[in-house]
Amino acid sequence: MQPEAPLAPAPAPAVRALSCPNCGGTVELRAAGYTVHVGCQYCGSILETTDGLVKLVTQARLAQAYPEIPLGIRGTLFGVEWEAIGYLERSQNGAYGWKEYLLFNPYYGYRWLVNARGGWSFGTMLTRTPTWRTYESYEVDGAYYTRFFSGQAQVDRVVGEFYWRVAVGEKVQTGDWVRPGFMLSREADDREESWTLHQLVAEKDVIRAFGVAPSGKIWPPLPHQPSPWGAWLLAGAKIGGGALAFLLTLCLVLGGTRWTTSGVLPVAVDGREQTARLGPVTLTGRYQRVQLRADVPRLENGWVDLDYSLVDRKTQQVYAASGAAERYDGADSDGPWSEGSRSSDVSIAGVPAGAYDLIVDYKGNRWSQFDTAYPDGGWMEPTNQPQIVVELGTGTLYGSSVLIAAVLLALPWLIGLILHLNFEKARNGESDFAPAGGDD
Amino acid sequence: MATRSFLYALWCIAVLGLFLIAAIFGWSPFAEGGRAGGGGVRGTGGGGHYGYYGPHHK
Repeated sequence: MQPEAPLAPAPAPAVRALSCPNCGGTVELRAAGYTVHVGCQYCGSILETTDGLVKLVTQARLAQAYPEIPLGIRGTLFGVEWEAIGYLERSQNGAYGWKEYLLFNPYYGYRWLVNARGGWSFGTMLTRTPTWRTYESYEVDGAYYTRFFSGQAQVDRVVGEFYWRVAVGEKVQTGDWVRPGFMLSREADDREESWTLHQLVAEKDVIRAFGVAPSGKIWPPLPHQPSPWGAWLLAGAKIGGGALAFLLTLCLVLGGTRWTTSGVLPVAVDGREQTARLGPVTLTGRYQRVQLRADVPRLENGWVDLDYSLVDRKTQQVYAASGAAERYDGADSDGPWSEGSRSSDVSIAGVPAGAYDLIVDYKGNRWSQFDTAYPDGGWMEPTNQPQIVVELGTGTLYGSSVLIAAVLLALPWLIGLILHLNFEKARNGESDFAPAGGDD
Repeated sequence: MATRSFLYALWCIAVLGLFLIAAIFGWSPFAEGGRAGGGGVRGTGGGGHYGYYGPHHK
């Protein structure tokens, strides 16, 4: 009988457990073979694991850290399952802290999941150096990144395992360049320089992947946070522009006034009220705007009151409006002056079709700076031939309606623009390179 | 984003619709005159001069 073939050796366990030489706590290695340093989650000591033995690098007795994403938990981001294996708390010399989770997948390597002020970014280490383009921009794969931060970052707390020799208090020079949705980060010390490309991750994706708690609104915005109004402004400009173009077309088609009736009314020198009738006036549109214009060519230091009544011959329904033309001039220590207009323009809205009479009640008046005595009759002197030229026209559109419609069409887009500019101002105000006078 | 654009398009359609209705009826909130209250009675509409007559600049 053939002896049984020897069984293949059992696969190495995915997780290797170590004992912390400082506190005796069990420290798990999830990327054994790759991990160089591991931070004890119980006492904060840094352990080196490179040669199979566990060496105490930095002894510490720190308060326990409780990462929001527990180490060892797995979650899927961008279609890949990642395991959180390391956790760093970092800051700019103790201020403006942020948190970094080291993610690991044996087929894809390491990634960073960074939480700054509640916003999440997914960082991929670059294996090439970005191309320096201008004093303030770098280029990666055709995309330009504008400088935003420059400073020094330090490590404040370490938990879990890392692929390099990490230490609390370790400091590096940092620089960040941004474009909407992405941040290019450079870290350098006297030995090496590394570049990481961070992509903004929607909070709901991180919640779904790792079960973190919602953080609420982030304000001021993150450096690489796209304006929620930016993209809409472009679409809104097309929609609003199309609507405004349609409105303009309507104005061209429906605009204007057709003058159909006119009459000349003599003004009595004694200033009594007079009445004149113009007509018949035939209005053919179902409803229309009726425009009434009066010109008083000889008017000087006086005024004319005008009461219009448009009377439907069939129903005796009255459509009424009032107008006045007044004009004054004189001279004083500053020289000659004049005021007012010799014409009056009023409209009657919503007049239905029909045959009408236009009744004009009018009265000429004279004005004197001291009294109303006019030995020579003023502008109403008979030899001056005072008269009023009244014209009636019809149309459809009102300029005020066009203006209101244009404002209402543009208003939502303008509000979006203001919100966008406010967002960008707040975002740029966070930059180390914000223009003088910006928010700090 | 699509929701915002959709709502904005709806807003534009509503504004243009109201504008067209106003145009069809020859109506404006700023018209000086309109239908008088009592049928068959001549009356004064809006748009006339009220109050003080005379120059205002001195």
